[in-house]
Amino acid sequence: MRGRIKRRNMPLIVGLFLPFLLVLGPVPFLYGASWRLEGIPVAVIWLFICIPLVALCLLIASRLTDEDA
Amino acid sequence: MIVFGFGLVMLAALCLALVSRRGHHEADPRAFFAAHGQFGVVLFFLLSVGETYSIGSLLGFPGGIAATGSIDIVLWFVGYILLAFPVGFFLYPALWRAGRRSSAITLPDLVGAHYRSRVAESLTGLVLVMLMLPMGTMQFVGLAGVLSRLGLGFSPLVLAGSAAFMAFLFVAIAGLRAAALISVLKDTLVLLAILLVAGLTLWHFPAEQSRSLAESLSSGGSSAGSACAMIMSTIIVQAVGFCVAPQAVAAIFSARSPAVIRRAQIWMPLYMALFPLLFVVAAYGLTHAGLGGTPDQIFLAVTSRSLPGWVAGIVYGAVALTALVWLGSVCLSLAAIVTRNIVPHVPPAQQKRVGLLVIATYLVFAVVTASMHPVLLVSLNKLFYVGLVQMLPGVLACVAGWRVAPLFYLGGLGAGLATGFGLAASQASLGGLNPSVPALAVNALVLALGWGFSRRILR
Repeated sequence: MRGRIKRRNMPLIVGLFLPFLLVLGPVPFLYGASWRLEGIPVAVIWLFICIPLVALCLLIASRLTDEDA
Repeated sequence: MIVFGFGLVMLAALCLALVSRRGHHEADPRAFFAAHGQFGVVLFFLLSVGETYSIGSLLGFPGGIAATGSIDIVLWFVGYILLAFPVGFFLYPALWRAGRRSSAITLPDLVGAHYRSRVAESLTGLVLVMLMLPMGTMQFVGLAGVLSRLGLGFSPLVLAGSAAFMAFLFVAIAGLRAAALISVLKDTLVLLAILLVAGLTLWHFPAEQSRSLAESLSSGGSSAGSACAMIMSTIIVQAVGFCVAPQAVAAIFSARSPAVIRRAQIWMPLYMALFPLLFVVAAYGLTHAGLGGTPDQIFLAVTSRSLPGWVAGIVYGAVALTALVWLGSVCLSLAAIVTRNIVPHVPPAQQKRVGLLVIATYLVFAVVTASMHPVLLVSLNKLFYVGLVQMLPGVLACVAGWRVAPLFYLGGLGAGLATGFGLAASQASLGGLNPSVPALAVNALVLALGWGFSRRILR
């Protein structure tokens, strides 16, 4: 029963919570960081890396949703 | 030569509008305003992703960075659009199903059917129309910057009036179908324009650099805690607000099925891959003196400095199209709201004519207000979302099928709007928190009280 509930929630975890965690989670740690690449703050670089990562999360979530359907 | 390139883009867009009309002579206002249930993955994708590269992104995003010299705007602006896609991935199919149950083509249709209240329907429509007014202004503020660079010698009001006429023509020809097809041209040109302008910017970057990027772009500082609170709360609030905008909801109801919506949503984040290049343009503006114009004109200033006249004209045409397509789809959803939800008993045969009158009025209002107040585009964007996101609790109740008395729905919406705008106007610091967050809490609390009350009565 618990396993079934977990599997049903997987698309939500991967497709919604993970993207929010990827984008918002590092903000407090990276925002004031002094490390820069060519003058660009690391917080900005991480956010741009998140663009393909969020698409990947949605792709996986859609596969999981299809499986359930 | 600039005018030639610009004219070519407008002509191509007009031809596409005419092509989109072929085989779809819409007598049914539902099909005209909302292309109800007609769009497959590609057209749905193009229509709803259009918001990603609006005039707010093309001009406002680099302009906001240049005006403040801070990374805050980069983080919340990119963050909220990016996270709107996962929210839409889950919320849109549920909204589509709720809309299908009540044959809705607008958000107020859905609200009216769920709360079984004509008053709730009309007031929701009225709030949405009021909220969309400053966004129309925002498009014409951006358009004024583009049109002034054509060197035609007309007054700004005449130029903005001509642009409004073009937007009206696009929608009058073929409704939402034209907006979706013109999006194809607009997006192709915009993506090429960003690649070209940013590519040239990178090429010329080291030359004539007046100061380094590290000096020009600040991050952190004494109030890093409140800045982080502002960034994170704005991202969350605007990501969900993005999904309940009238034009987003119209796009959802135009989709053929929830599967179409989900498949399109997967690829939308990749559409933002050119935002780093827009950042490059902003960085160029920050580090190179003497570009001229307001901060919102950085993209245009870099274009005119680095490209030959006719190519610059095409880029200006592409930027103008982003505003015209946005205006087209917003005007259509507002026209549908006014004719179906606000003005009582408009017969279906008259809805298209009344709708076009609404569109013309909206465009005239936007032209006039844009000529009055010089504002920063991103400021308007933030204020708009403070109000729009208050739709969310009521919409979630519709999607989840929670029965709440309409009085509580309207009470929550009113309390949320009053709290949000009150806090925004008072400029209370709230430790950096976006004013929408406490406003949403008040709104949700009133709605939850109503839900509990309704359950007790029903029991």
